[in-house]
Amino acid sequence: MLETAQAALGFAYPIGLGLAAFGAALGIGRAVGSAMEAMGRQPEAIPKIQLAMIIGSAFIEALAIYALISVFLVKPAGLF
Amino acid sequence: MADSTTTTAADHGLDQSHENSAAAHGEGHDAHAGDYHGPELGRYLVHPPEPPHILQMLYKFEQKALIRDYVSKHPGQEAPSVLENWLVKDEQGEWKAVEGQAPTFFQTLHAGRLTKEVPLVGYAPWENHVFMGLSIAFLIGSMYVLTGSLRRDRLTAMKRPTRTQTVAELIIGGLDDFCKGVLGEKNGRFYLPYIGTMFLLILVSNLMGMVPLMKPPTSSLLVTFSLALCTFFVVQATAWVRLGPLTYMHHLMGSPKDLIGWALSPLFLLLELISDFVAKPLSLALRLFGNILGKDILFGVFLSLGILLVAAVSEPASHFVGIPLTIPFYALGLLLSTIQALVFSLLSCIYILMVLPHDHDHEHGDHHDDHGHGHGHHKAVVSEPVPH
Repeated sequence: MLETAQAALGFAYPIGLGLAAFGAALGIGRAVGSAMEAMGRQPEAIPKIQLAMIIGSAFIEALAIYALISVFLVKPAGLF
Repeated sequence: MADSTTTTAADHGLDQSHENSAAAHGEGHDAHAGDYHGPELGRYLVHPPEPPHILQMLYKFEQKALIRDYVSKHPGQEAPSVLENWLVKDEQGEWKAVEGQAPTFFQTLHAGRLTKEVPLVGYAPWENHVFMGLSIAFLIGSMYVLTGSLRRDRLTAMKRPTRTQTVAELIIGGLDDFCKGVLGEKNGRFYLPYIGTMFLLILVSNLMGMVPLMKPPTSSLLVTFSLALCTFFVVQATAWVRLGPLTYMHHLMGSPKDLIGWALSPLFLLLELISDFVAKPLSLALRLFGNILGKDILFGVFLSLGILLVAAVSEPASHFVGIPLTIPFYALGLLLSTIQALVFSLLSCIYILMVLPHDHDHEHGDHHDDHGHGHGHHKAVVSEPVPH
């Protein structure tokens, strides 16, 4: 029973982590892409756009990091 | 390392032996390893060994020490339910850890709390103390050197700046610009010591992970949570002092102005309380912790992969020589360490900015009705007037 549960975790965690990373990648890609466009349009505003972009990316990235941390905390079989 | 019992390996076959290895009680130490008479690589494919991973070795060591402490302090007691699938009693009534079963974070924390007999402080590995002390010592030492150059040069005025002075001015000036850019001229200067200290401390701590045989203290949740707690207290102190209790309450209720705003204020109060008191410190701490621990584990995995590759092709198997596969990740690690230090201090700045009284609202009139609950300050960052 425990082995089955751990095997299930062993499959579920990479998939869940992948999904989280996928979502975060979409979000960050969109944010950075838009920021790049904005920078191209207004090069004089680059520092401010960059600042806002980094803040936004940090917030988006935090979501993927939460998924990663849940893996650290629960530790499925054979990971460490 | 113990792989699995004879029965489980035989029953489930090779493809499942990996999942079983962690859960099984290991009495049969590498039961099949002696039977195989092929090339080394084949043996490693059939029975993948666990390489001597330094983190893992330290972890096992800590685990054994924890059990010893626990048993000596609690003779003849049952294991608490949190620990029950990690600590078991064998036939002789001796406590022991389930072989191959690493305790989860909470179990480690719990065991540490039980053995050390201190509530809430929990279990802090020694490396955090040592390496945090080292990074603080490094910072104090370098600041002593750098500011020493400043003082000497001020005394002998009008001299060409020395190299150390240039470095010091570069660091302090950069941090000053950073704070002023977010918080404004006066507040930026006021919060520069805090933000700058946080940035440098986190940067140095993160970069410790780049040095072989060192552990970044920020890869521990306790350390990052303490740092986040510092920011939390600074933000709260700012709010209470600069806004005053009543305005702060008003701010927490989403700065209601009309009837609808007041009607919705309990909702906003709840939202802001959770956001300010739980979500912000926790996300600050978890972001730094996750990134740095993730980087650490990445390094660990590629280090052990390099060792495993050499072990797979060498005869006899070597466990101490490896291909340095981690080298490409040093660039990534440097980038990540810097960005995380930057993000931490930037978010500290933003959180402080959110509770600062915003003066230019009076000039601009009240065109900020549309962003309801006090997050209009976000806009202040971006929409500061650009000098043309």
